Amino acid sequence: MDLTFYGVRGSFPSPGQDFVRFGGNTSSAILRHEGRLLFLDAGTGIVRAGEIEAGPHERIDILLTHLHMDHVQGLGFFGPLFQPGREVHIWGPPSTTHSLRKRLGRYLSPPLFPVRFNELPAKVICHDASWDRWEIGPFSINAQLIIHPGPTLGFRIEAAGKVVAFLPDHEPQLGCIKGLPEGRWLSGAALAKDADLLIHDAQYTHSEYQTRVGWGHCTPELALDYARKVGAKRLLLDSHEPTRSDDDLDALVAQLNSPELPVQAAAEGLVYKV
Amino acid sequence: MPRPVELILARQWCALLTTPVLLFEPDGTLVYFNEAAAALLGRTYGESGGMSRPEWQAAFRMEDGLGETLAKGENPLAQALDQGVPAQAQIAMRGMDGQLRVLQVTSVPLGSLSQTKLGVMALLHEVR
Repeated sequence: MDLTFYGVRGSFPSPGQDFVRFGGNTSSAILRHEGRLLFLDAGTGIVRAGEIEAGPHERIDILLTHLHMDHVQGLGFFGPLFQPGREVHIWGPPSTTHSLRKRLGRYLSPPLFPVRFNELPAKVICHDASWDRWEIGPFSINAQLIIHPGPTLGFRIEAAGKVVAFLPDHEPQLGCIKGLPEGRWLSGAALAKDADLLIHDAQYTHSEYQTRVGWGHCTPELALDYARKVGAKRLLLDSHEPTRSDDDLDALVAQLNSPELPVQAAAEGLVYKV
Repeated sequence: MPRPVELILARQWCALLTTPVLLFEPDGTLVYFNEAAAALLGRTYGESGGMSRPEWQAAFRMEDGLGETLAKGENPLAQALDQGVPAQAQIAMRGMDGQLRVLQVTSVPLGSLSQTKLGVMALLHEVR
């Protein structure tokens, strides 16, 4: 299994020369195994991911962690949605009130977007993510709600005996008085347990977080603590603050003292072998 | 089994409250109570840990005004856990410190996105 990021920013895209090495698109990644693709989130990065990765006829599956704009903004410009005969399955968090299609349709409709969902040439099938494990090709997937404003999923994806945990927007420390809790009281722990690769939110610095409690995001230090608590083997910091330059990101990672657990900041275009 | 995030958030919220609160799973397991509740139950959560339904029923006995164990139909915790309805009653409870206290107990069954039956939240208020 291997993984490529096409977007690693939280909140909004950040173009410009200060953001070239890590990239400026919002949340998007692709997992590959045995010739099958799994698209993770649909931020602005999915536009280029579609151009590069989507074969001519294959079915496409997109897992959405949640429906905040930085995770769905690329959908409207995702090329495969405009290809007749293409089948696109979108999996996202359930709601007690509206279907996933109806909620996504708030964005994919005027006045926010000129094309309506039912006008897309592709056959688009929306699914509420199951609370039970389900299979997409060679991938076995678990989804659970995790701490972030609004219904938000984390994913545990297994293939060939390896585990990738994808929790790009997550505030596991919310309301905790004495650091992260243990075991069953730790949000998303079952998803991330013993993961070969944990992709976790690290949007804010410690000082930034002090005025953004409850906004749904984590810090690099807490993400590392989280990774240790769940027994992850490798940590990729994700959802970088959009104003964070390449040099700033280098410095953030460098200050983490983690000899036993490799930590990197996720970067667009790099291929991570799992 | 991992706990649902709704229950995790409830615990974290309750931990910050000065209102005494207890959290139960659907099978009646007492999974958390905050420090304010500990003052009324006579022991901290750190000391007692989680308790199964028979364990907490033995640990803090709920009585009516005559010192008799509350019948299920009069017990607001049992009503919320077994019948899935909110319930409220004034009871006497002998805590784990042996003290008898008169309490107003308000129990609310909780449902959530991922689980129809998330559990029960009970609020206590001491009547002095």
